[in-house]
Amino acid sequence: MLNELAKKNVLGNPIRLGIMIYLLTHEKAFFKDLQTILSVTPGNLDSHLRTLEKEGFVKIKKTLADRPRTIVMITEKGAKETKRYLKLLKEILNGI
Amino acid sequence: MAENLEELKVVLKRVVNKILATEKICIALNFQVWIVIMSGYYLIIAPLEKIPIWLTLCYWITGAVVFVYISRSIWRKATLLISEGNIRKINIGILISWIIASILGWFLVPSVLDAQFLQRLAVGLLSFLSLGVFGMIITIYLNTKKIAVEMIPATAIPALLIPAVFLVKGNPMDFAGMCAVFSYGTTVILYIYRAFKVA
Repeated sequence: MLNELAKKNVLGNPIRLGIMIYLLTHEKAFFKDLQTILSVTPGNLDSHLRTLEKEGFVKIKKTLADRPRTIVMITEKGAKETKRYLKLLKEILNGI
Repeated sequence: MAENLEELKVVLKRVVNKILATEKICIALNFQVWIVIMSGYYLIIAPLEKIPIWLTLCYWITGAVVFVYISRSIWRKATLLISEGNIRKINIGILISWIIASILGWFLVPSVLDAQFLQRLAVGLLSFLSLGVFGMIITIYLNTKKIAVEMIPATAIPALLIPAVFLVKGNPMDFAGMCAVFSYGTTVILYIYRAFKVA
């Protein structure tokens, strides 16, 4: 079980896991909001979002409302993997 | 170390429970949208002595479009949260359930009944609502191995009240509509109660 958890290294990072948990309950979020909630620098957040996008866990879009904004949306794959990861983590912790 | 582990367990439990609570509120919202649309119709027709057919048709076509539009976004969020089941399979299963419920409830059941027009229509409405939700329960169970207990009133109450349609002295469609509001409302209460309980 621990091997399986280690394999899912994308979510092994607390910031990436935080992003995914937030998106799981909110479906989408603005870049700026994620930055405030997670207390990270724009560069750091951008780097984590690129990793998640590469894995197909999130979709990143630019929107033009009152000003250009970046919006991050969770994908079905991302939701599924996050739930699986949390379940696995819970099972491991309960077993200790 | 042991303290950190306990803290991690607590945090994880809170996260999982929050996800579960959000899922329940999303599903409750979906049922509530239908209740508002349904009761809105009764609110509009209440002052009228005779209900024009065009009004009923216009209202329900608009109501269905509004429901599908709102429900699509709510349900998308809910299915993202529903345990590990295949999201696409769940969505297709639910769509098929409502298609089958529409055919049975609006065409088959009223056509085989030997009763007044409004009684047949009322039985059809109750069958449609009950079968649609029953299909949802089956779909969720097949994909997640979990029974959506909160949905039971929404499927059982309309089904159990079908025989009462023939005992109604007033308009059977008013009775059927109120049955729907009552049963779906009970489901909404259960979902909200469970959401607060886990959160």
